[in-house]
Amino acid sequence: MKISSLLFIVVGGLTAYLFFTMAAIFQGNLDPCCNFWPTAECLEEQFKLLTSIQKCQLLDVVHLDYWYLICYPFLLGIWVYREMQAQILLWTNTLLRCCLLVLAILFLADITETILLEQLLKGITYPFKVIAIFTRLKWATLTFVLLILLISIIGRKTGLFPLSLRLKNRIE
Amino acid sequence: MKLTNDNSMKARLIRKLTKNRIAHSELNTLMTMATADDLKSITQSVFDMDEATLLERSAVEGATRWLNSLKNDRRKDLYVKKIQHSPRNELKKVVAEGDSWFNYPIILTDILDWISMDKNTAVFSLASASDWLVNILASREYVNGLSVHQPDFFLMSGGGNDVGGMSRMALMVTHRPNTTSELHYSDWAKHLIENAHKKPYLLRNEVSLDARKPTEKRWNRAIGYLSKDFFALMMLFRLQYYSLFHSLLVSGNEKFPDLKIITQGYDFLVPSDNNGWGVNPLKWYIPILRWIGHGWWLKKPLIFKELSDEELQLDILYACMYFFNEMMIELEEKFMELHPTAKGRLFHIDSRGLVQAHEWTDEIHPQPHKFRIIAQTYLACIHGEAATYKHVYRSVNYQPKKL
Repeated sequence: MKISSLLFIVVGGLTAYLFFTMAAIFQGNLDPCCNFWPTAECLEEQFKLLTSIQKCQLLDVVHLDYWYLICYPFLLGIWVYREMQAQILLWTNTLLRCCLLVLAILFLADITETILLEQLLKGITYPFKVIAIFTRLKWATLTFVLLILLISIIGRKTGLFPLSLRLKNRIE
Repeated sequence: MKLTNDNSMKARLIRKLTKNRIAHSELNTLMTMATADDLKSITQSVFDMDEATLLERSAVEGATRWLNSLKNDRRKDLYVKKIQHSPRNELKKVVAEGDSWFNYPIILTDILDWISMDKNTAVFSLASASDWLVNILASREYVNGLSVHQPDFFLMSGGGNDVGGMSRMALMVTHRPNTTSELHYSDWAKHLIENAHKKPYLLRNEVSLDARKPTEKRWNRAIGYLSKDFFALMMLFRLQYYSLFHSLLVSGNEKFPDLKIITQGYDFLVPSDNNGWGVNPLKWYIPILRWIGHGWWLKKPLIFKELSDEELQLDILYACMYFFNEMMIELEEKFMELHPTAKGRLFHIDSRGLVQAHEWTDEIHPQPHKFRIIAQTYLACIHGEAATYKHVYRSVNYQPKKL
């Protein structure tokens, strides 16, 4: 079996498992805004609302999350790399090469966030501000990578960008 | 009796070659006479080590081998898809063997990557980063590749690592300029330069007819520093490439009747140990890739020989790469003259002067947009566009365009 297929299965399985486990732990009481673009205050507020059972359950999930955050950037990396090799335009090729760097940043941001979250749940330190920054960085980088991938794939599959270039040349 | 005479003559010529005291006619005689065993013996003399050790040291192993195979496996998938889905009369099949200019793992989009993006060209790659010409010819992996795929073109890029690998650049120079340069002792080398002077590139958009001549100031400054080992290595390359061409286009003519070969000339490499940090985020990969070998291929070996002047280092590499290209061009001309069956089946890509000093990823690899122009030169050759000069395609004549 190819590494990419194996990773796809692992990442898919883990995503489903983590999603349902988190939903079960928080029982629908998650603030989406605080989850995706948090501030130190909202994180602190949410943390105060957690019961000790929820903290223990979350700690278990965090341990699994390490595997997840190793697997999904790797899978995304393979995807970006393959797309880079398939692009025929210099600018999309360059942009996808930049995505490889952004992916490395995403990986580091995610791993830092998880380490800090573990410390927080264990009551060692309470770095709400830093966690908020790394969470934002994580979502921003992930969005960037997915967006570039989407643009590149649409461009390659539909020939949209060369077409618009041809139209532009014709108009000029 | 004749056999003994031939052998002793070959041994004498090989000795002369390694000392760079061989006459032009003698080199041509040796070229046509040399067997695979003779080439091994010359390789041993030039590299100053036995073949087994040389092959062991130059072998591509470990992580590099794995990374090489990752890219080549992807290319093979694409190759199969193209063959399955493209009409045969439009599709050109290519087998490529060579070094990191053909297979730079992961980050850089190299020449073959860009060529593969052409929908009418299917590339089967055997190339490996860090591969030496001596290794490529010894393993003969390409023979099986060519037999299985029967391609229209065989792309070959070899020689760079034989010069830059294992700090061998230090052997190519001498720390004190000779009063009489080694060029003076080499009839063949002088012939190459004369050839370049007598047969300038005749280009549509070239103002000067001197386009093929070396820049005199740079050439004169560097030539005294080139050692006899450099000239011996160039002559060894000539014999190795001759043997390769002969095995495919003359002895293998029945097996590969329509095969055409394209060789690679590289550009004027730039010795540097600058770590490449800059403000352009699009060039983020340069400092990272410069952790790998940068500085140790060319710059530091030259410093070992007390050649620290940056301009002189550049001029030395200018002379080396100039010479390598002229060697390939002259060899191919000579080969087609000696073997009429090879006429129109040998091509050379001359990329000299294409990559500017700031456009290198590291000492020996251009940035992807320059690899792209070189790839366009290959594609022009593959799809039968007119050559710049006889069998030579010059990359500086190709502007970036949509592939």
